[in-house]
Amino acid sequence: MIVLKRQELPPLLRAIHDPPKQLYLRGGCAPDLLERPAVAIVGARACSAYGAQVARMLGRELAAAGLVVVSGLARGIDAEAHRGALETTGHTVAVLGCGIDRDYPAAHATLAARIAERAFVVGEYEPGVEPAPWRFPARNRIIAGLCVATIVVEARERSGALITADFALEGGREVFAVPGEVTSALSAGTNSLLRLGATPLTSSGDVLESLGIEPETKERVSHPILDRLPATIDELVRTTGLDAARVAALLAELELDRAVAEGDGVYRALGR
Amino acid sequence: MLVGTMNLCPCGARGDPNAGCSCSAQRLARYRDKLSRALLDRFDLVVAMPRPRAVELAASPGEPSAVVRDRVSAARARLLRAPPKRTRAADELLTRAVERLGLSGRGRARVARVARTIAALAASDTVDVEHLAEALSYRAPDELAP
Repeated sequence: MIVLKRQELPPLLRAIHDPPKQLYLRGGCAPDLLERPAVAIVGARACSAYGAQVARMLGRELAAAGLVVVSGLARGIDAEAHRGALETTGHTVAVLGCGIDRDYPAAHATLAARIAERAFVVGEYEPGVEPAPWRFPARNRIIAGLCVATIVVEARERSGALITADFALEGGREVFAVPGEVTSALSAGTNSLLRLGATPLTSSGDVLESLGIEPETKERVSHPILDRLPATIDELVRTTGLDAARVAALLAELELDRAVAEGDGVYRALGR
Repeated sequence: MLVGTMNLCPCGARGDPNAGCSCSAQRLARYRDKLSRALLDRFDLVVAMPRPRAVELAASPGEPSAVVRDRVSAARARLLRAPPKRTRAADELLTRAVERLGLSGRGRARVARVARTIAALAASDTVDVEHLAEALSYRAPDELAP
């Protein structure tokens, strides 16, 4: 375990108006990892399949582009962002609202260990401090503080992710929100951020561009069926006239190419 | 034969675009933790069934069961007589899937077996890429087997 005193904190975190007194680090990396350009990906715990897929895709693409992906190890969006980043050779940092020796939530103990292997699990609380609801907003200020930009993927009204966005704005950092369906309660928070002037995020390229990073031109998988997504297999069978087996086979191949992702029976095109 | 069904979430509304699911993250996780990954790994076919729309419910009935039975009998005979073998391209796809999806040994064997059955049902002498890809689409989604 490494402990950074206030004067040793990464400059961006030191610049917020109430930086932590100290930051505990668990992991196997040099602490200057925290000084590399980082982006926060945060959002709802009970997210939709759409939110989970977007979070995973952003985590993967931004980490692959060399940014450190920071989130809070919570269920849902946070965990997906971490997992996406772990699919690359890039780095991801988890900020906890409890002692860094506590695996919270317990279901994410393995995820935390994988993150610590390649980068860090960090927090301002001494080892042994229990998770408690009032510590989470304080944790969110560290997430926003470490990052040049904060991305909110899905959030209900008055959710913790919006608190993170507030901290980011307060610190003069960029805030991105992923647009969602206007009828979805899970997108009410992100859509209201957009109304307030947050930058709409439609692909990882939007973030890279705003940070002046040249997005890698990746080979785009193209297939006419992508234009019909999101849809269920049954809907595709009806609209394309192909048989179910052919549609399932096509989708499985596109999934391996990471051009589509499935959740709750619905297939979505990624990275368009 | 073992057949089972479950809702996508405790309230039953998840996956239905016309009904908002109100389950909390903890509730969802508790619900899904009831099934261990090892158990899910033993189901050969896992298919998400979104709620049918009015058009689908009103559609005319599909193939009669007698026709399906004939096809199944023919496939069984074929599997006993000369089971289809994977083509080189299908082999490559399987390898790529094992790497990309992190399939277990059991998972790999299951996908290979399901693909062979699909090929037999299609009266094919070989397991082609298309058969293997279809078999891959029947595995449990990440969120059921994290």
